[in-house]
Amino acid sequence: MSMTDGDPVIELSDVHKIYPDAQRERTVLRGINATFRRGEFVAILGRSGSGKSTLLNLLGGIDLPSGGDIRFNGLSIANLNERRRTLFRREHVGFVFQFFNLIPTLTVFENLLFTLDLNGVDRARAQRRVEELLSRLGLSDRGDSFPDRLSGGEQQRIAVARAVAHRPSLVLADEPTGNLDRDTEREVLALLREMPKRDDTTVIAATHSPEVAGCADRVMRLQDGTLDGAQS
Amino acid sequence: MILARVSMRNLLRHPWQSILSIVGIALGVAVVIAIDLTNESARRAFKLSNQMVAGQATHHIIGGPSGLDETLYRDLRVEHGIRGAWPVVEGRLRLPDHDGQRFTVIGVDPFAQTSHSAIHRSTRGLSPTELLSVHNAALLADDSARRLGLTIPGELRVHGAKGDHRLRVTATVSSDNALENQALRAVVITDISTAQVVTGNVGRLTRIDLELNDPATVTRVRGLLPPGAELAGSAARGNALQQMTRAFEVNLTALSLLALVVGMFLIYNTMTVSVLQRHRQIATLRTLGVGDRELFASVALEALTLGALGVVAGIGVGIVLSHQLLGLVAQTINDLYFRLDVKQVSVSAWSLAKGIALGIGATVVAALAPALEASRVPPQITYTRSGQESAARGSVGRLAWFAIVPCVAAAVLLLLPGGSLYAGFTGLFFAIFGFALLTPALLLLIVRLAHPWLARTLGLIGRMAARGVTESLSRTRVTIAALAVAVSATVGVGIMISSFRTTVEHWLVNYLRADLYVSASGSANGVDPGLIRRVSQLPGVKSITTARWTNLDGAAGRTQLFVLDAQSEAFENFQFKDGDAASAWPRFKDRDAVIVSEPYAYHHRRGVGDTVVLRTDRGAREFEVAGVFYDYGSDRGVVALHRDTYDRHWSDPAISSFAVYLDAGIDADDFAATLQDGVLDGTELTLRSNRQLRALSMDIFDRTFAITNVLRVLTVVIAVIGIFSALMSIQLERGREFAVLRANGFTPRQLWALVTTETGLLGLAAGVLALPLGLFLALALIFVINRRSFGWTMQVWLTPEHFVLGLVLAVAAGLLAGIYPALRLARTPPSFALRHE
Ligand SMILES: Nc1ncnc2c1ncn2[C@@H]1O[C@H](COP(=O)(O)OP(=O)(O)OP(=O)(O)O)[C@@H](O)[C@H]1O
Ligand SMILES: [Mg+2]
Repeated sequence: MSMTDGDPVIELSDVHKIYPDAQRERTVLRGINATFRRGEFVAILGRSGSGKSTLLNLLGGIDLPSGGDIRFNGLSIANLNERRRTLFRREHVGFVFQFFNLIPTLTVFENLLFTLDLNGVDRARAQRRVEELLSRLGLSDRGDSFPDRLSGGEQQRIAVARAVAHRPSLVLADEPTGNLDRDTEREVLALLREMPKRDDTTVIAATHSPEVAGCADRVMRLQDGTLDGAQS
Repeated sequence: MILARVSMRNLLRHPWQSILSIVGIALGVAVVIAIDLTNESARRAFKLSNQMVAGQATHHIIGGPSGLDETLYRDLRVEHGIRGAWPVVEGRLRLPDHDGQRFTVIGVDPFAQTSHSAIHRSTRGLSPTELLSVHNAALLADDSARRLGLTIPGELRVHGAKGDHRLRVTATVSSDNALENQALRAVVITDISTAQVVTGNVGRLTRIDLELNDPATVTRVRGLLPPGAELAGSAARGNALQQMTRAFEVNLTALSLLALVVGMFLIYNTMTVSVLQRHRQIATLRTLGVGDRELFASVALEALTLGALGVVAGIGVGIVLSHQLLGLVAQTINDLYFRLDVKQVSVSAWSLAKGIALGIGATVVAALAPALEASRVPPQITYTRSGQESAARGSVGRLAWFAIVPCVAAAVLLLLPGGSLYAGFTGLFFAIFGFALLTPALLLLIVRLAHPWLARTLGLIGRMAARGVTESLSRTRVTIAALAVAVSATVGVGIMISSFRTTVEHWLVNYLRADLYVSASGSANGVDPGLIRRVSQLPGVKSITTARWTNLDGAAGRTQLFVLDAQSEAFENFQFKDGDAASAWPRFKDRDAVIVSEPYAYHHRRGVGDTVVLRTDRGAREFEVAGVFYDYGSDRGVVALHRDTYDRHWSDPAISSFAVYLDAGIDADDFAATLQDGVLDGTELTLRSNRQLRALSMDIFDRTFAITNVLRVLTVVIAVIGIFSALMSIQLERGREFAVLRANGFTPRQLWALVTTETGLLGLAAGVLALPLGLFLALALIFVINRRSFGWTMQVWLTPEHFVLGLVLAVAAGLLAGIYPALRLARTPPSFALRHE
C-alpha cells in the first residue's frame, strides 16, 4: 500500500443502483463518479431518501451496484464473492451507524476487542489497544459495562473507537450524530475527525448535520442520483 | 473467540427460554433412553435367565404338552453313550403353610447333575446322597429357607398336582453370584422322581438338556428322537421366545421417538425465534466482517449447548424414569407373553450412547434451518419485524405445496399392502411431518375464520389479537405444529385405545357366555376330571365345557394351543372372520380340522382351506384350517382344536379350566357360593363369575396400556413446555409495542386480555388442527400399526370426549403460556419499556 498522502483509496465509476420496487424499478443512484483519497474526511449531504445510505453500503461492500465499478486500492469489490467481501470489510472497513452499533451481549471492552479478534490480532496486543482506545475516550472505567448501561453519546463514542480499532483504510459513518444533542455531537465528531487521522484513514460520513459538514475536508452533495462536489 | 461469547451470552440473556428448551430436549431424550433401558433390561433379564437355565447345554430335547418319556434319557445315556445329557423335571407348586407362595420345583439327576448353572454351582459342594439318602429330600436356597423360617433339616409342605406332599429339606444351597441367588429365590430342588411325583408326571421329563459339540452327534441324537420330540438349539429357542415381545417393544420405541420429535420441534422453535429476534445484532456482526460460516457455526453452537445440556439432564431423568417404567413393562410381559422376573434396570452404555446420539442428532437437525437463516442475514441493518413476517407469510404457500412430498410418501408406506411395521411407523412420521408443513396455511385459515367472531365478541382487542397471531407467524408456526402434533398423538392414541377397549369388551361379551369359570391358573397341574364330573351332576348345571391351554415349543418358536371340549352351542362363542361356525363345526369336531385366531392367521399367512403343521406325539402333521376367529387374548395367535382331535394326536389328558353353563333361572352368584364351598374348597382352583372374568380381562387390558398413557402424557408435557417457551418469548419481544399501547391509555387489564386472547387463540388453533390429525393417527394406528404389530383388527369407536379433551388441552396450554408474559408486561411501567429497546 502506498504511503503517499492523497493516494486514491476508493474510486467509483459510473455506479448505478436500482432497487426493484413493488411495481416498477427505483433508480436511486444513476452514474456516480468519484474518488476518495487517503486520510481525507468527506461529508455527503443529501435529502432524506436521496440514497446516502445506499451509497455507503456500496462502498462498504454490504451491497452490490447494479452497474458500474467500485475499486478499492485498484481492486474491484463488485467482483468479489460474498465471502471475500466479508473479509474485505473485516480488514479494511469500519462502520458507524446512527443506532445499534454495539453488540448488546458483549461488554464495552469486548465490543472493542471484537474486530481485533476477528482480524486475528493476538490477545495481549489487542487488549493493550482497547485499553488505549478507552483511555482516549475517557471511558476506561466503563469497560465492563454492557452497552445498554451507557448514554447515547457514550455508546456512539465507543462505536467510533470500534470503527478505528483495527486501523482500517476506510471508515463509513451513516448519520453518526443523528440522534445526539449539540454538545455530544461535537464530542463524537471530534473523535471521528481525530482518531482516523492518526492512521491516515479515510472517513466518509453521510449526514444532514451542518456541524459535520463544517468540519469536513470536502463536502459532496447527493441529488437526483448523482454526486457533485468540489474536489479538494 | 469472542463470537462464542456472544452465543453464550445470548443463551444467558433469556435464561427461561434456554432452560425450557433444555427441559424439552431432556424430557425427549429421557423418554427415549428410559424406554430403551426398559426394553433392554427386560431383554437382558430374559437372556440371563435363559442362559442360567441352559447352563452349558447347547441343545434341548422338547416333547409335547405332556413332556417326554423318561426312558428316552436312559436310552441316550446308557444305550447310545451320549454323556452330556441332563434330565429336567420342572413344575409349579404352592406352599400352603406360607400364604400359598408359589415355588418352582426343579428335579435333577443327582449323579448326572444339571446344566442349570445356578443349581450346578450352588450344589457343587454337596454329595449326591444329600438328595438320595432321605425319602422326598429337597434343597432350598439359603435365602428362601431364611424367608420361610425353616430350620434345617426341616419339613416343607407343598401342594402339587395331586395334593399335598411333605418334603424333607436336608440342606440349603447358595451361590456367590447375586444373579444366581436371585434365580434360586423361589426354587425347590429335588431328585427326578420326587419332582415327578410332586408335579403329577410320573415317568415323564419336562425336557432333556444336552451338551452337543459336534454336528455328527447332533444328527445322531436327532435320529434317536421319538416322533413327538424335537431337538432345539438353546440360543435359537431363546431368540424365538424373545421374538414374541418384539412388536410390543417396537411400539413403545416409536412412541418414545415421538416424544423426542416434539422435543426437536421445541429446540427448532427456540433457535428460530432467537435468530429472528437477533436479526439486527446479526446484521451488525455482518457489517463488522463476520462471515456466514461463522454465523452458522455460532448459532449451531448455541443449539448444541442447549442440546448437550438437555442430553446430560435427559440421561439422568431417563435412568430414573426407566425404574418407574420397568414395572409396567414387566407386568405386561408377564400378563401377555411369558414369566419373566425382572426387577433391575441394567444401565447399558449402548442404550445411553443411542440416547445421546439421538438427542444430539435431533438438536443438530433442528438447528440446521435457523443456523442457515442466521448465515443468510444480509449485513444491512434494515431490520423490520413486519418484513420477516411478510416473508414468513410468503413461504406459507410454498410449504403447503411441499407437504405433498411427505404426504405421498406416508400414503405409500401406510397403504402398500404387505408393508412392514417399520414402514408403517416411518409412514406415520412422514404424515406428521407433512402435517407440520401444512400448519401455517391452516393456521391462517383458522384465524381468518375466527376473525369476525372475535371482532364481534371482543371488539378491538379481538381484532388486535387475531392480527397479533398472523403477525407472529414466523415465530409461532413451529410451536403450533408441535402442540398440534402432541395433542393429536394424544387424541389418536386415545381413540385407538378406547376403540380397542370397546372392541375387546364386545368380543368378550360374545366369547365369554358361560356363567362360571373355574381354572387351575398359574400351574400346569390342571383340573381333576373327577371334580368336573361331580360339578356336572350338581342340580342347575346345564352343560360344561373344558379347555386345555398349552404350548407347543419348538425350534421355530412357540405355538399356543387351545383345546376345547365343547358341544356345538359353545362353538358359537367364536366370532368368525373367515369361514363360519356352521360349516366349520363338523370338520372341527370329527375331521381333525383346527381353527386359528386372527393374529395367528396374520403372522403365518394362513386362511380357510390352508393347513398348519403341528408337532403331535406321533410326529409333525398337517391340520386343515376350518376358520379364522377374532381373538384378542394373544397377539402371537392361537390354534384351537377339539378335545377329540387333541386326544387322537397327543396323549395329554390334562384340563386347564372348565366353564359352567347354568339352567335358566339359576342365580349364578348363589351357585358360585355353593360350588366354592361344596366342591372347590381346599383345591387350588380359582372360581370366577362371568363378570369377574370380564373385569379381570379388562384390568389386564388397561395394565397393558398403562405405559402408553405415561408416554402420551410426557409427550404432551414436552409440547406444553414448547408452547410456553415460544409464546413467552414472542410476547416479551413485543414489550415496546405494548408500552406504546400503555402510553396511549391501554389499561393493564386490557393488555392482559389482549395477550391471553392471543395465546388462547393460538392454543385453540393448535387444538382445532390436532383433531383431524388425531383422527388420522387413530385410523393409522388401528388399521396399519396394530395390524402389522399384532395382526388383529378392531372396530373404530369414535366418542366426542377425546376430541373435547384435545381441544381443552390445547387451549389451556395457550392460556397458561399467556399468563406469565401478561403479568409481567402489565406490571412493567411503559416508560421502562420505551427506553429500553
Ligand atoms: N432495499 C430497498 N429496496 C427498495 N428500495 C430501497 C431499499 N433501500 C433503500 N431504498 C430506497 O432507496 C432510496 C434511498 O434510500 P437511502 O436509505 O439510501 O436514503 P438516505 O439518503 O439514506 O435517506 P435518509 O437520510 O432518510 O437515511 C429511498 O427512496 C429508499 O426508499
Ligand atoms: Mg440513510
